[in-house]
Amino acid sequence: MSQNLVELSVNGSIQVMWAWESDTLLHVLREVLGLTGTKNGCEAGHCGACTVWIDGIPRLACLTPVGSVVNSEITTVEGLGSWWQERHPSSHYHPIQRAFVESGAVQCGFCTPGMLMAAAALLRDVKFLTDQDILERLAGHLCRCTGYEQIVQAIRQAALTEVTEQ
Amino acid sequence: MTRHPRLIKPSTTQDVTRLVKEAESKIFGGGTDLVPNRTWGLDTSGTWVQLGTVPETTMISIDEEGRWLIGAAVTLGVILEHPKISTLYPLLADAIRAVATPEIRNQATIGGNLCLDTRCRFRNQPPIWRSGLKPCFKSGGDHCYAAPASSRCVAIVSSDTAPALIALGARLKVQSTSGFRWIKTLDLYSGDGDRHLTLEPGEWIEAIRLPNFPPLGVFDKWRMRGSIDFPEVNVAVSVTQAKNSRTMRIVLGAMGPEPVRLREAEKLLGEGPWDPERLMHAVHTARDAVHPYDNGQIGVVGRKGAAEHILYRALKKLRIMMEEKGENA
Amino acid sequence: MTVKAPDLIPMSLGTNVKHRIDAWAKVTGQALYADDIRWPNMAYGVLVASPYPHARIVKIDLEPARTRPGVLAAIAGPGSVAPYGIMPSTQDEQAMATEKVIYLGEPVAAIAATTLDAAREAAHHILCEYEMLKPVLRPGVEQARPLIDPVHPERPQKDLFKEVDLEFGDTAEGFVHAFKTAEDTFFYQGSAHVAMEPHSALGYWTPEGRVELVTATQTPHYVQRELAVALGIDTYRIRVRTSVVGGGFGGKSELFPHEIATVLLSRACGRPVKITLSREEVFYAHRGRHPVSMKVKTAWDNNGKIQAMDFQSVLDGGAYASYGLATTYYTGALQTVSYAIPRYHFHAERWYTNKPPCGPKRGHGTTQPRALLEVHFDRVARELGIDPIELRRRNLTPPYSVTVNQLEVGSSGLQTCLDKVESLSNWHARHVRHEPDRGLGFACSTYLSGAGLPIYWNSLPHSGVRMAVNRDGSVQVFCGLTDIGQGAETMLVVLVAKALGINADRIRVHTADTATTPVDLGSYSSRVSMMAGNAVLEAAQRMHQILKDSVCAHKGVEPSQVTQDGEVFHVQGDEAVPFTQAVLWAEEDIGPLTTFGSYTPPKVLGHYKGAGVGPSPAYSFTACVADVKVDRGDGRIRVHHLWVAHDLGTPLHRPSVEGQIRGGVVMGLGEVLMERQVFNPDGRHRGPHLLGYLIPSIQDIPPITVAVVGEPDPKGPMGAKEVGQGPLNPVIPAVINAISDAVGIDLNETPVTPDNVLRALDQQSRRQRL
Ligand SMILES: Cc1cc2nc3c(=O)[nH]c(=O)nc-3n(C[C@H](O)[C@H](O)[C@H](O)COP(=O)(O)OP(=O)(O)OC[C@H]3O[C@@H](n4cnc5c(N)ncnc54)[C@H](O)[C@@H]3O)c2cc1C
Ligand code: SF4
Ligand code: FES
Ligand code: FES
Repeated sequence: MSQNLVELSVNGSIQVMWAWESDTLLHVLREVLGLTGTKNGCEAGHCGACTVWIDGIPRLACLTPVGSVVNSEITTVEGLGSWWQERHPSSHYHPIQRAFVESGAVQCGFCTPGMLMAAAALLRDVKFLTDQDILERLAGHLCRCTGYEQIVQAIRQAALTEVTEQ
Repeated sequence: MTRHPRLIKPSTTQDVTRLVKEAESKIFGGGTDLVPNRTWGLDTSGTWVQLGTVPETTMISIDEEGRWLIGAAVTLGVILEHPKISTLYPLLADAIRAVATPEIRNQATIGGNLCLDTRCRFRNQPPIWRSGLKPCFKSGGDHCYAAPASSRCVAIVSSDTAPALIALGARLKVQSTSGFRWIKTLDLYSGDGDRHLTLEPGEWIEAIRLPNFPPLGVFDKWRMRGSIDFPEVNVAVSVTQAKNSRTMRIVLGAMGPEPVRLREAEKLLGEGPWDPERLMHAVHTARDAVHPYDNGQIGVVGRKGAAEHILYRALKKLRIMMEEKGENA
Repeated sequence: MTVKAPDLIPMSLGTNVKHRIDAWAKVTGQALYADDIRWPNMAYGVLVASPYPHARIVKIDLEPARTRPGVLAAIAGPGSVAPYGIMPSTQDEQAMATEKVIYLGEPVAAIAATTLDAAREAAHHILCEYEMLKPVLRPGVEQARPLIDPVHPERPQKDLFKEVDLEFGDTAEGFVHAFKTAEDTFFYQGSAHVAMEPHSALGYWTPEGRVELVTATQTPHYVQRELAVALGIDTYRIRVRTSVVGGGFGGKSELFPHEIATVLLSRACGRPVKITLSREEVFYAHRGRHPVSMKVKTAWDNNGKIQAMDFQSVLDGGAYASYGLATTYYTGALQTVSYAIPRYHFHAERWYTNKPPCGPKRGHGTTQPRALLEVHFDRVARELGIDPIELRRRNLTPPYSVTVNQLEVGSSGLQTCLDKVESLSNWHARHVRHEPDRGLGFACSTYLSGAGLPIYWNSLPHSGVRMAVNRDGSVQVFCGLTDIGQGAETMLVVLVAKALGINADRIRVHTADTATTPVDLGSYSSRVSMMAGNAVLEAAQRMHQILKDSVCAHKGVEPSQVTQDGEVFHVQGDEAVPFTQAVLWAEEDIGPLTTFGSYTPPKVLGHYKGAGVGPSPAYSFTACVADVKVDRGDGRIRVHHLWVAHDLGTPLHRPSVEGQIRGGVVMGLGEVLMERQVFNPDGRHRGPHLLGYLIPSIQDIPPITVAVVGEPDPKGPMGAKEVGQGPLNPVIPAVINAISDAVGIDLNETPVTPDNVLRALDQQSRRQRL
């Protein structure tokens, strides 16, 4: 058996590489493509640090064999800003990134990329956010530093900016 | 063990059946159980047969008799967002919402959830932990660490949807080389934690069929944290009220290698008024019906306490629902 | 879950530092953590670990692995390194075990290959043969059962690592004349740090024979020193740099086997080598909270004033020393800082066991005794018929006093903390509420703002700063401190901006590099703000002086005629001079602008053995009230609200302060409700992963009200004290006290699992039936 030629679309560009189909997307993103913004906190689905978008849906890169997503569009934290900019040309950054900075939602930052991907999807999916929505959608993301409060605040703040910007 | 399993994407049910018949091959639903098991060296299959490209497995549809069919490869996230299923089958929706985390539900399939490998804290451990331990039944050995006196594996079926589907009276469409058949959800489980499904080689689940007149029901789950964790115990209860009789289904899950119907409690509550004593009595029947071992996250005392606790809570809630519907309990 | 802090905390001392300076890099994926870094031609290393907790190594054969595809080097223990350890007097570690393995997960060999996959695969081909020994899992079992092999048979003391006995005043006398005496025992379970980032390091043995190490550490300076000892080479040959660190909490504050292994593998294969631990390996590398069995006895007068205390602790240290020497003393050191105890006897033992080594975790050694102390005070209050908060009030250590064990207490806002949580929680109305099984519990605590002594004896500064102002008008700050996520770099910027009166954008900080930054001992014992803060202020003040002098010289005026307002020097009767002009003049006058600052803590007062553990330039204080409901059905504890008041002197950067408090409180909540680093009878960890070792998720957090109180401390930089560790401590006893208030059971163990609650409730109802 040998590796396969795998074609992936990541953050809007096509990447072709040799990989085992069963290699996890997390491994491929970090080790093959050098996109190290997506973090490895457990490699087992327990922590949420590796959350990326697959066709816009937040999923865990450590549970996803790369062979299962060859025809999908993958977005990582590195691509979140451009994803936003395509829709709102005035900014390179997604409002949730700014909100995390401004609300003190970032401490060590290791959980942050996963949190951002979950939060950005939430902001996109739900127009008028409640705190309940936030707690539910972040339920799979462990953060050891913040006690979560400032993260929730950041998402609330971003929800407000998003509404006012549109 | 093959170090790198193949990932095959058949496009017809026949192809799936043929592929699944091969030794060392497994259905790949969403992989949220298979992949972490692989990472820890617990899954040794050589081929993963991905269902996502087989149309029958990815659809939610209605059959000629008006019953909802959910393809086995439909993700839990999609089911929750379906405009009809959540409202028609709140029992199922509650169970799904209790599974893992939003990201995992976006990937996990309902078929995978039913077939999810059994779990045990003497086996579902990372590689170094396991490397010095003599294999137990489930790992090919002749011993059980959780229940040393047991002659077989008692690892836990932790599926949250299983009790719900049993309580709903759902049927599973099992495909095999000789065509398909329908089985009751409970009949999927063998009671042996090692080979916990009754499916033969080449058999797999294509879809789940829900009854068109669902019973009234409640799902509840006990876990340490408010999210992520597998159930320490879960429960689904349902009632169908006819003119003079009541049919109950009371299911406890995650206590052992198969979900358990509490037949005695069902009988008890199938007649007469549901006063607190009767409810308590029904709840206490669980003591004889399930015998958890110390292979969960919390201890046996805690798990038994939790089981009775959520069972009582679920029954009380069901009583209120019945009263609201004007049925007498 | 939102509750706004009722107190208005000034934002960053009035400077224009609003946000953490590292935040943007972290939200864009630009921040490079150790595992994100790749060096040219880098190889991947993995450790081979012992699958047994206690065994003699019969044979390790590396040959079969060496011939696997992609393998570059394989090494094993014997002859690899000299014994090392963080405390100079207890150097008992080896990077890879040589004769015996003494905990499950202890590295025995290491392998490097061209890819991670190849390294992992090849690791399976290293043949290890062991002869199993019975694991020692409880402190002191060997004494009771002499046939069991001790963990460290070579030591004259065998597995008794350390015994401490200290007495201040005549304790026995205090008990003789007591109006009341009381006694309690408690077992505090071990717990792990669980920083979200697993440890990772890149090592390179360069062709010139130097060592480059980039690693996720809290203490690059100590890592450099220890590495020199282990490798037997001159310290100056080693350069240790810290990558961006994804959380530490004490778990990354000494040299680890994987760090050494990267260097050894690199020497063997000529390439840089990276090793990143798996989550499982992190649970084995450990150095977390010691499990401690404790007993306290107290004597009281009829006014509810404490007369004497006898405190005993037995620590389960795990396989190696780590910081255990300090931990042992810490379990007895700070009792007197919160309460004025006139006579105090303290006895402690730390034992080796066949478990991953324990060490410092947030609250280092003070968390466990604090739990017992506060639970005990509550029970005494109940028996004396005094309100629990009132009992504390009668016994508080006064500010600016010296304790019986010779600790100099400076500013103290403990009284204010008490008052604050008392009123916020509506404490006195608690018994009027009629919700069954619900209760309030109180506790308070104290912590150091930096240890008074360094880990190895020396009289040098604990923190040094070099500051340069460049021609471009930028201010470059060099300091050995490590930002592990707590915001230390941002703190530096705030202080420099304030001290120089300049725009924060001008300031850049360069940290945690043993080659380019002056030594700071590291991010542990909550010392950074205090020590690096004072050092940077000194450097800034000197820089300010230089600039002002040049303005005077160029304008031909006296210093008294020059004042500064923001980035402008006003000169009496002359044109204002912008900061940038002053910089150019100063460089013209004296060359490139550099100043230094440093900080050495005040001399330790006590002269007894062990007097070095406990002193600090200043102490922080915290009080907490917990509102809980106990479910009698399933034994679940639901925390409805936490009120926390913390005295940290002057808050330097508001978002960081609030984040530290909340993070600490939630970690405490985890420790009391779910966290436990426990082992099966065969010595295997109960679950070395994040489904087996649970930490709170966002769904497990009650509303937390945070109040920041206190006055500027004279010793702190701009009056600041610590905030990183203290707020964790009172949460645990507050919850346990609340449970007692709610349902009348007295729990003597952490964590409070449903099993324990159900058992206690069952016993209670049996007692009541009798
Ligand atoms: C952190 C974490 C938490 C979790 N928490 C929960 C929880 O709370 N409750 C819970 O129920 N589960 C939980 N899970 C387990 C798992 O994610 C879910 O059960 C999920 O639904 C499995 O679905 P899947 O499609 O991903 O399964 P897969 O991994 O694809 O498959 C699981 C097993 O089922 C077999 N299989 C899949 N589909 C079929 C089919 N159609 N016919 C026959 N066999 C099939 C596979 O061969 C495999 O053996 C958790 C998992 C993780 C990682
Ligand atoms: S229940 Fe027994 S046989 Fe089954 S996995 Fe656990 S230890 Fe092994
Ligand atoms: S790394 Fe994927 S969930 Fe932790
Ligand atoms: S910020 Fe450190 S884990 Fe969340």
